[in-house]
Amino acid sequence: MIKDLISEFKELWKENWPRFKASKFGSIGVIILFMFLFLAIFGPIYVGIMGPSYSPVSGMDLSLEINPETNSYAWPPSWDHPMGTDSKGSDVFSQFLNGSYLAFVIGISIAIGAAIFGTIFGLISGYWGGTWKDSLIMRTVDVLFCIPFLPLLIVISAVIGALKLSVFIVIMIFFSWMGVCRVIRAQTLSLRTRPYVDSARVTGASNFRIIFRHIAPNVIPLSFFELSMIVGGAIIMESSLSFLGFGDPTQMSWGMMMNFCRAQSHMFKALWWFLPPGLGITLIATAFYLIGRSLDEIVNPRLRERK
Amino acid sequence: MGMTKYLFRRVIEGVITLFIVITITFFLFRIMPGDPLSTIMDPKMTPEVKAAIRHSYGLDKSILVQYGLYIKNMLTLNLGDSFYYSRPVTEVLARRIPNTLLLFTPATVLAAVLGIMLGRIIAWRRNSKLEYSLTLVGLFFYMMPFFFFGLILIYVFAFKLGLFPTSGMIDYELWTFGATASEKIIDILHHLILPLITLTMASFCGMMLLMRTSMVETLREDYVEAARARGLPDKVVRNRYAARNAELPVVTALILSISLSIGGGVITETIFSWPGVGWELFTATVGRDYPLAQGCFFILALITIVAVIVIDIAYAYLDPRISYD
Repeated sequence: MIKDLISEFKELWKENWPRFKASKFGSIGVIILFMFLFLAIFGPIYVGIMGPSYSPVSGMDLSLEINPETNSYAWPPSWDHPMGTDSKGSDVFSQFLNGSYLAFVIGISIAIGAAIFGTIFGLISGYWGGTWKDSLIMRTVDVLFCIPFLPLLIVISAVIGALKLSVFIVIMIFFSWMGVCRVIRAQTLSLRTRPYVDSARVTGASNFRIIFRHIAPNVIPLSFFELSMIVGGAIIMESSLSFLGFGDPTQMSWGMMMNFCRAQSHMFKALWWFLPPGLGITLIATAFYLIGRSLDEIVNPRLRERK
Repeated sequence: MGMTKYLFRRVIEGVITLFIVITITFFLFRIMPGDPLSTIMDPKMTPEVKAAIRHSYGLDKSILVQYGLYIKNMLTLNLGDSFYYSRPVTEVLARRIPNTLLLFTPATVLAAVLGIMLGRIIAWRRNSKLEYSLTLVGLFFYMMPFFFFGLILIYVFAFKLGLFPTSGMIDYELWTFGATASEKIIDILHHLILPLITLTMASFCGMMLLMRTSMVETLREDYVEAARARGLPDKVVRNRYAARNAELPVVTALILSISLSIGGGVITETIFSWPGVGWELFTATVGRDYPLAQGCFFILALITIVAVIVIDIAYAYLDPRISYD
């Protein structure tokens, strides 16, 4: 299955890369994404060059004096600190770089998890469309869509305390696979009656083999758009939860930066501390959306522009 | 009749969802580390007293009996007493629910109406400067976290320009020194504007972008072409022929976005200190007021489920092609 998928992707790539390059929005997305990828990789290097006082979580610049305007160690951008410092004298730029890294970790891992679950359930549901397996999975999808999960995450953290990043990722995967599942199911429903699937069945291929060898490689690319939305949504959800103060306090994510800024009531005093994380979240989520949308226009010919 | 049956099925599905929500909260509060009574019980108490307390809370019964009692209590809205207010949770929430609805209902309606209107305009003018700029701006705001957008609004319009209050729902000074009813209404509206913009923005951009995509697809249909060929004015073709069908996927998406905007409502209420269910959920969680937090979640889930059913039924009316089985 993996081999088929890879060859399928290679073909898709060859055929569609020129199309993707031609799409303006898609290229903007790729550029923004590479910029953040660079920032994420640059994070540890920056701390390495500047020394441990620039560490994103525990670092503090002890040479700073109290800024009379903010009444704390928060200083506006300078040569030493390109994005200024926060209220305890920690480097904002270093935190920003670390947040960029965390955004990738959170977004990508949740999207991969959701893709795996969504694809498997979507294939099962579509292949056995109309049976009890299909109804069970689709009703579960309907139910999960109806549960307001930011409030659920808040209630969970009310019980077990601030959520560790790994716990958060697992819960998010559980609540993110439904979109992918629906797309894959719809496509599988139409593919399972194609002649080539019938011929595979006649030659004695097992259900498992038909699903994963013959159907899966044809349907997976269709979920690109859903996946890009999951990445953006997951990053925003993590930042929302962290911002409310229920995130992992050992991880300096963008949401956590804004939470500290607000908790220290520096929101209106130190814009250099407050604006970068918010813009970072917005830009990275937009980039994923743009890429997903361009991919969608490529694999979904109905959306393509008529020449 | 098909419609009644469909309605019945949707309500049954809603009830099942509610049961699952109740089950999740039940097990969530059972896996809580430590004894749930540790805050009440004193280590110096004799075992008999402890057993008596345990009995009075029903904790000596089997887990199944506890689960049954829990469901019964939830369905009869017997949600326990809030630790913080020392009053029944139902009583506390009864005063919060209208505030949440006051914010949530206009925001959802506004987002849908504005999104559909602007979406069909930009789809109609495809490849114009207006389309590109509105799409990009829409995308940017669509992807901006609600709280960031709300805080920027507070910074600009409340803090810098001083046009609106930064938080809360009423001006206590005004209310205690006797204000007429109209003054009170204006005061609430004045407080409502910024949170309303924030929450509307949260789903408006998504609606607009979706309407655009859906409308672009519909505009290619033959019947739209035919309407144009018959020489009907552009406005009629756009609004009466194309938009009618393009709206349907947007309504479906509205159903899916309800649970997201309930979450957005929690954030909006929190940053504006708007005294609704979401704000209460936040403060209860911070204050470890378990019964209240659980009650808030239960009510929010209930609002979501009811909203989804209402939109679903409206959709069935809008689209005559839908089958009710």
